[in-house]
Amino acid sequence: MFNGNGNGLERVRLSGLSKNFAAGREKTTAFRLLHDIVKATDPAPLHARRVVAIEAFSMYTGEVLGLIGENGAGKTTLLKLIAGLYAPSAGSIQREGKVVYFAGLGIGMIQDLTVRENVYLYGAIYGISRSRLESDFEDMLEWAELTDFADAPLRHLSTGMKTRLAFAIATRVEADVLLLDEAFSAGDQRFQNKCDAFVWGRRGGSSAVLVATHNLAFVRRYCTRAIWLHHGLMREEGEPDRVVDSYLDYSKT
Amino acid sequence: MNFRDQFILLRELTATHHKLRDQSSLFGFTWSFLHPLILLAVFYLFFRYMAGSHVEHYSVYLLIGIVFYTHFSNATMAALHSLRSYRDLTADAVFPKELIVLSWILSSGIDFLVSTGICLLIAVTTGVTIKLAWFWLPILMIVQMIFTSWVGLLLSCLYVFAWDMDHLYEIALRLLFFMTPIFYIRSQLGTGIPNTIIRLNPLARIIDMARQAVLNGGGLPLGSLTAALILNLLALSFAYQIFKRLEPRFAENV
Repeated sequence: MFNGNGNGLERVRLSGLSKNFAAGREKTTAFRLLHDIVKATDPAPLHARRVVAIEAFSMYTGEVLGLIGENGAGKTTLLKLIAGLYAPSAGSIQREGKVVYFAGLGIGMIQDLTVRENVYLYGAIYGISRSRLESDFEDMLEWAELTDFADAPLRHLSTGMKTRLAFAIATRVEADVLLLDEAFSAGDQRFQNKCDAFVWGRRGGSSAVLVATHNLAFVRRYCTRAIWLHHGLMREEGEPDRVVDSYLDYSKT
Repeated sequence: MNFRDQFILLRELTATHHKLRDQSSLFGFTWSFLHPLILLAVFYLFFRYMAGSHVEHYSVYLLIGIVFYTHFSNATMAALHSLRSYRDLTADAVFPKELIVLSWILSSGIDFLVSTGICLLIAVTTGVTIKLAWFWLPILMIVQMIFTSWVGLLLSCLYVFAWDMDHLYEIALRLLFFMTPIFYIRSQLGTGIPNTIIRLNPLARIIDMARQAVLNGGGLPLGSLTAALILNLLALSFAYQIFKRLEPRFAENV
């Protein structure tokens, strides 16, 4: 559906996008829900808080985009909008291909299942083919240093072990659009290097990658483009060093 | 996510429910069949002389009602809670969320299959003759599965938005229990409003047909069966469309 921009194929296109959340959202009862449906009222717009508003933005294959900004700037909301988990309040999002979103490592894993069962469940959640999971099973466990734990319940593993396992599986994901929400920025230095290498390997590849992060050094080193989100607006966008510098200048004030 | 990946995920989720349940109790399946058996014992003890004098093989009559009702109640209750109980997946993973609901429906369906098998076994041991009409049962079970699927899909998305839905539905299930001829016989109600309610109750109609097949033999009313199948399929497609329309709002409300 999309044209290239010289770098790669356009995978995501946002236009006139905005997302509002109802402020002070209350628990709704069935009666109230029915009342709102019958009266055709939507309580949200009355006390809406705008979280994200982006006029135009696109993602292309081969790109690794760094999304930076303060806490509450709307980074996660933007990722969830692109992922299709949130519906936009206005505007449109067009996506092409398979979109995978990692809110964190290990989401969807179940403590009472064994490592082996979790590999297949977690892999299935993120659309990794069964044959890939089977053929790579030994490699994944070896990499995560869990060879002796294949049939142990997940709850017997340390946090670090679980993160390594989740990462080993996650790196098998084949996505056209890959959205990472601080996901790969946990763990010790050795783990961090692996994560960085994974992202580095995606540069110039067939997927478009967007990483929301507070790790500015990561953005400078590995990203091909950076976006600074400020109070839901795109404050600056472009060459990573320049965007990170502006953000740092702002942060000092 | 392509169809094949969705199928694999559905299978993994369904298997997960079973693994978790079998771990959490020593008895595994036995535990889930204990509840209907206790109901059976109680009702058999108390209503054998009241309703039992009107029906041959009252225990099997009772058991069919209990098995179908218990399946409907368990499956739809699990479906209602499904999106909330997998909140992480509902809010943070990108895949069609009906798979979560349907995995619970399928998982209850497996119990239903085993329960019905046990029910037939009990029927044979208590002297019910094996009939050709028993082959209607799989079709009735499919109708019941479609029925629970659409009710489950609607309940699961309502519960994302309305927090008291589980309490309301518990009351509805209790009412349904008494509005379905499980331990009594419809003809005992006369021709007033209660009888009309039961005539409109889809679960009562399915149970009625199941009893007819198991106990009386002979063919089922093809017209009613076809109507039930078509109406439930239509309801399923309607429920699915509502679910898909509300799906983009799950993540921020769940």
